[in-house]
Amino acid sequence: MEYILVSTGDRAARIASKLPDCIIIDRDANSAKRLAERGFEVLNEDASNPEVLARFDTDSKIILADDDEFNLKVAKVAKLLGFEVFAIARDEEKCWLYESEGISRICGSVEALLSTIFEKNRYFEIKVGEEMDGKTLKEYDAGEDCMVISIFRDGKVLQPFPELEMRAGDTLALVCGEQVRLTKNPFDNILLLKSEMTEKEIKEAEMVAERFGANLIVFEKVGNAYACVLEGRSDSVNLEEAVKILKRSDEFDLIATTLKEKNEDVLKLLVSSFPTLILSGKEDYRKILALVNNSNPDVMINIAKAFSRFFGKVKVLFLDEEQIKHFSKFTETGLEVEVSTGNPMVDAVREFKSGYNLVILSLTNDVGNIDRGILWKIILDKETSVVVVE
Amino acid sequence: MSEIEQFTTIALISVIAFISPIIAEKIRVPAVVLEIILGMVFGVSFLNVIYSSEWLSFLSLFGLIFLMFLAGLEIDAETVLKSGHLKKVVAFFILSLSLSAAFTILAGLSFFYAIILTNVAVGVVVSVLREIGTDKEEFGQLNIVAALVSDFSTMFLLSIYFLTGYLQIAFAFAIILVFLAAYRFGKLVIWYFPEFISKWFSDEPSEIGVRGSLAIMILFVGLSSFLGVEAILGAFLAGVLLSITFRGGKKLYDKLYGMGFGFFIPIFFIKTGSELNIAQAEEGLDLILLLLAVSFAVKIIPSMIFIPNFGLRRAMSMGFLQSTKLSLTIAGVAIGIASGVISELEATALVSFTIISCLLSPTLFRLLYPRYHNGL
Repeated sequence: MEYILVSTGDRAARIASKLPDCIIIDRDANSAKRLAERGFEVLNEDASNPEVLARFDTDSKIILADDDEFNLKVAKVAKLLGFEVFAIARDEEKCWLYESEGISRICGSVEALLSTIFEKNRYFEIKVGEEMDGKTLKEYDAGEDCMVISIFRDGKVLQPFPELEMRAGDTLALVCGEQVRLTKNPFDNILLLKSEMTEKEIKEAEMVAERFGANLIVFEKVGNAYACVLEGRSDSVNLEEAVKILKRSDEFDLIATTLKEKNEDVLKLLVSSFPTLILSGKEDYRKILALVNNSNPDVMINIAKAFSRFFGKVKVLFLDEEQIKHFSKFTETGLEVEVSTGNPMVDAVREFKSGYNLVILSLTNDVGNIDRGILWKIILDKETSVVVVE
Repeated sequence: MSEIEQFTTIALISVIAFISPIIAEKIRVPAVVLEIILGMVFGVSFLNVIYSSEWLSFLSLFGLIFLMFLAGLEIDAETVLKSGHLKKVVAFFILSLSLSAAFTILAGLSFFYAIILTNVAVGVVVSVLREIGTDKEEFGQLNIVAALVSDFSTMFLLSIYFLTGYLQIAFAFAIILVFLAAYRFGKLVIWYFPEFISKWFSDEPSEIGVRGSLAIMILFVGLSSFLGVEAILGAFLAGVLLSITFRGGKKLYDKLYGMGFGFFIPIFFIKTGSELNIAQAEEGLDLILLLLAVSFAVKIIPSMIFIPNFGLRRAMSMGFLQSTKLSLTIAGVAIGIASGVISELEATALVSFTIISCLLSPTLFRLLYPRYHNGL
């Protein structure tokens, strides 16, 4: 048997119908009976009982799709017996409990789970029910691994956009998989480049890592060099060499550091490899602004999406009307989009001055004609942290 | 002159200004050229129904000031500085100016001619490149940057050419210092009062942006006049100041262009045309032909430095395009004649040369430019 599905009811049927060579272990007798009548191979047993799982070959993959409490009980047993385990966390806040049981493959939805199992992006369709009728796409949570790519309504295909109201009977087309997850949470490992940092700034880096569920790795500056422990090296290296090593290691997604003065070369070096967060000691990012001053803003948009997902609303200010074509990339997220209609540089400064905890901007700065001096004033502002991308 | 005659003249000029772009579009010539030609038709050359008056002189002067102001506003410092060819473009300009200066010395003409010959009509260059779809390509960008550098430099040279005495030169530098201080001040205002400045670029009925821009233009013109420096320098610097401080803002610029090219600037061109006696053009035919030949030479020879980048044919086509003359040459002629640097005969020859250059140079460019020629 390739898959052992621990689940019940319609959910079990939905997952099992997508899996070849699958047995369902359902602890509810009535549900098990109904599933069997529908043609599924079903075992009406308690999967948390070690004797039940012990009957199967440990080459089988176990999928836990019951409630979180029961899933965790079964997970303990399954890990002890040496099975590979996938789980769907019903409550995302309980993900850490799964992690503590050593289950790294935790998926937010059935679609995401299937994509993870098959290790490629998968296409799914979901019918919009009465309970979702009238809600906008941005209110719809497709999970961390999935995104809506189109909506079918009355024989028409609609392009998704945040304010699109769903109607009962609509079909949402979703794509799920690791690549989608990466666009939603691109930060798995954050590197703290530590030099003359205050306690508050260090805490800010920790706060960001915690929100994204990322590992925070510290790289300490000693004198004029960085203590480097990557690639088995323990000697000190200069910043340029350190960045090269980090780039090769391909493990980091974001650098967090501080900048006390304008240093174009250093910042260019950092952002050419990774998005760089310039810390200012913020405890939280309640107001976030993305100044889209780049003609190729995909990285900025992804970062803005990720921050909106983990911190709340992000205001995206397009500095050129032509950039509005990127608007279609904003679905199911808390992004508020505005386009500069007057002078882009003045609009950017005015928006920045209205008070933000975090600003996302690009060092390329080829859209909006923001004066370099003003761009640096924003980057070095003591009251605002800044994510700088290339 | 009676009030009725004054109003009749203004009304006639307004009608010419209105119909010129409509006819120009049909016969595919720049509207400015037609405005000058129609000015000639209704002026002293033929019908002689455009009467000079204080009103007309004031509106025409304001048109010239507006023209210089908008020329400054068109200077895109960012495009110039970011260009990868800046060094070569500067070399191109210096070579072109040196050749023009050498010609004026040999021909016994004033340096004024060297400035006019080095100048280029940026507006025509950009529209021709846009028309053949190369304005975004490397060759197109190079041409635009070369035109901007030539335009800015010759405009500046023209402004200081009319200065007489050390005191005036010192005053001109004083205006430049005011310009630099205003630039710094502008940056601080944007940083500390963005809310106020953003109103300049909005659609508020008070049109605070237009008022502010005109106030800056007139302040600089006033300062120039006060210091005894040519008003065009003040107007040009005011335009450059707005361009490099705000670095964009289509709405405001469109309104200023609308005011300038919609009313004041056509009056300047029509009046300039009306004062030229075309009968003198025949007398100055030799000068016109000489200027045409030299204007091509002083641009084609320096353009050879771009052969390694674009090959002989494209480099040569660039030379033809860069030799196009229009608005600023006419403006230079108006100032030249007012200050006595050139005679009426020379003015007529220069305007005729400008009109021919504006029509001929882009045509030769189109014929020579490989892609256009192949119809691709």
